[in-house]
Amino acid sequence: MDQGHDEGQDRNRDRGERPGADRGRNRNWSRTDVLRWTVAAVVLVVLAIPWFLWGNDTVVAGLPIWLWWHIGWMGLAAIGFWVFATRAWGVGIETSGTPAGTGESATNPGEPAADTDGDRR
Amino acid sequence: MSVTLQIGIIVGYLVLALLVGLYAYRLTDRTAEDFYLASRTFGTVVLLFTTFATLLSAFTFFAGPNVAYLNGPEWILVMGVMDGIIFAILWYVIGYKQWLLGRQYGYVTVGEMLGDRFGSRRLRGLVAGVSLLWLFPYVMLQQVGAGTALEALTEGAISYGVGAGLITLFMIAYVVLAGMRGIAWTDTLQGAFMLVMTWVALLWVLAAIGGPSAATATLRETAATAEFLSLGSNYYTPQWMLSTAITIGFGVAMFPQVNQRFFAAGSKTVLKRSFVLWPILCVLLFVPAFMLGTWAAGLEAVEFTGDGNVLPLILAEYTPTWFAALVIAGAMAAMMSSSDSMLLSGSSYFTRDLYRPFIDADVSSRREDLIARIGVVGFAITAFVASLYNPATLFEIGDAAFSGFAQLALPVMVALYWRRTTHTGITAGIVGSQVFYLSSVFLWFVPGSYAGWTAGIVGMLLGLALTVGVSLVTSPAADERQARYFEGVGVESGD
Repeated sequence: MDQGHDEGQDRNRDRGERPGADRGRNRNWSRTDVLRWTVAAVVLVVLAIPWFLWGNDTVVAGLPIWLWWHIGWMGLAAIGFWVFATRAWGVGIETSGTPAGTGESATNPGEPAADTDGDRR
Repeated sequence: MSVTLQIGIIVGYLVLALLVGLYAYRLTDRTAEDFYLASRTFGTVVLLFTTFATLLSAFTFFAGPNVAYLNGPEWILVMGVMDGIIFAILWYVIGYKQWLLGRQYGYVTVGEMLGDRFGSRRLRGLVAGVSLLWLFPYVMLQQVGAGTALEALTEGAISYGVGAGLITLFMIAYVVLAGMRGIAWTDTLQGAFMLVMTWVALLWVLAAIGGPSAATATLRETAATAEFLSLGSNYYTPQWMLSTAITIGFGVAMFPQVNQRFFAAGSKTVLKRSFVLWPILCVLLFVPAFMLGTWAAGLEAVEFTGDGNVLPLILAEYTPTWFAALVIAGAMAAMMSSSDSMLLSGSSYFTRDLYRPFIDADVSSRREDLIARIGVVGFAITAFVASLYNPATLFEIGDAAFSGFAQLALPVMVALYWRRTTHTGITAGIVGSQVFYLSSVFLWFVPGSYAGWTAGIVGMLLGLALTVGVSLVTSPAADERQARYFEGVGVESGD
């Protein structure tokens, strides 16, 4: 679960290998990692509203109890984000290989993209 | 006397912002990338607060408490989910990937990023055009908010039109001078100032009305607000809460001024830290701001009918004049920090994705910088003129713009994460969802609601289905660069 730390070394090792050898699929992060963090993200979204307290009007210390849940949940979200940022940052995004276009005849970065678009219609 | 004092505070505030802008101007290179993105150098505090202040607009400070006053505090949950969590996740999913690609290939706008990948100038222009279409009413909304606030604050001494005009003039001067760097610095001041002011206002009002428990008890005893404390209502249905949170959350991420900030971070560490602190910052602002609106609903002293804004009424009743003026000045600052960022981004979309590719491809960076500043002036003045004829309420226009931007999010995400996306696919997704959503807003026979779900969210799903479906049945064009978003991403990025 500690991939984050040696990620830099992996990247260095992978650099210079055949571009696109794995069709861009990440070698440092497994499918399970992506799935695990996707589920965590969905749970964070879904339970930020305490649906199980629907219709509940209990008041604690001057605020509805469902608001306290939400406040606590936002704190939990920040902790979750921190765990993600330290352990899994790059999941699903960073890939090995050579940046596309570095060796090809790509247009200059920032230049308008090719003008040929009209031809294919 | 009090009117003079209030205007004095607002003017003082504006002068301070202008000084910061001038200082930033002295530091800028005269290049387009520096004007738009401060040369990608933001640190954590600046990135965090500039994004925060950019998101806080008239919508948060005026429309938000109004909604809470009229319908109850569930609005906090909706805002928490949309901004605190959904937007934070998109900060990573869209933002981090955009940041990496932006550093690698020098992109300044999302249209440029897509145009390059799909080898299409038209797609680039389409994304910019759609963005400007939604951005314009939203800039107008900010000017309407500023005009209304100034008129209310000065009890009519400054009329709506003059107020909105003054703010527009100030913003033009400021944006043209300061560029992204100056805007981000004043945002940082404004965001922090507004956060502190909101808490002071809350404590002040609570002290006057006997604390949160007493305020909440009053809500329960008042017939009109007795339902406020139980979660959910006829207004806050699960479908409506989720639809609103999802469309606005995704919409925020595609708003030009927010999306462009994804490109501006100085390092990966900056992105990580801002991402972690984000939900806390949101909850720290939303709870006091919207509870003030909610508690006011139980107070006989505050009579709000839906016309104008509730926050100034509360402050006028319970806090000294100078403090009310400070908060209103802060709220206006929040509106301006949204507007100035919008003007800057709108102008960069125009020069970068419309002017450069279609009119003058060989424009130098220095000249592009000049054209961008001229674009700011044109955009602001046109929006000001429109604001004088403002037809609908703040909330309705704001909501339409957010959902309009939300339509862009899923096609862009599909393109970022699915290699098989074709140029025809993403174009179909963008055009189809926009046509559908625009129809639901403007054509009476296209419903705005589907079994409780808003047209915004139905449009998003349509855009997703079209992007994926059409990509599956078409083949990539010859000049697409399919590998661009998938190989070696992040290889060069340092911390």
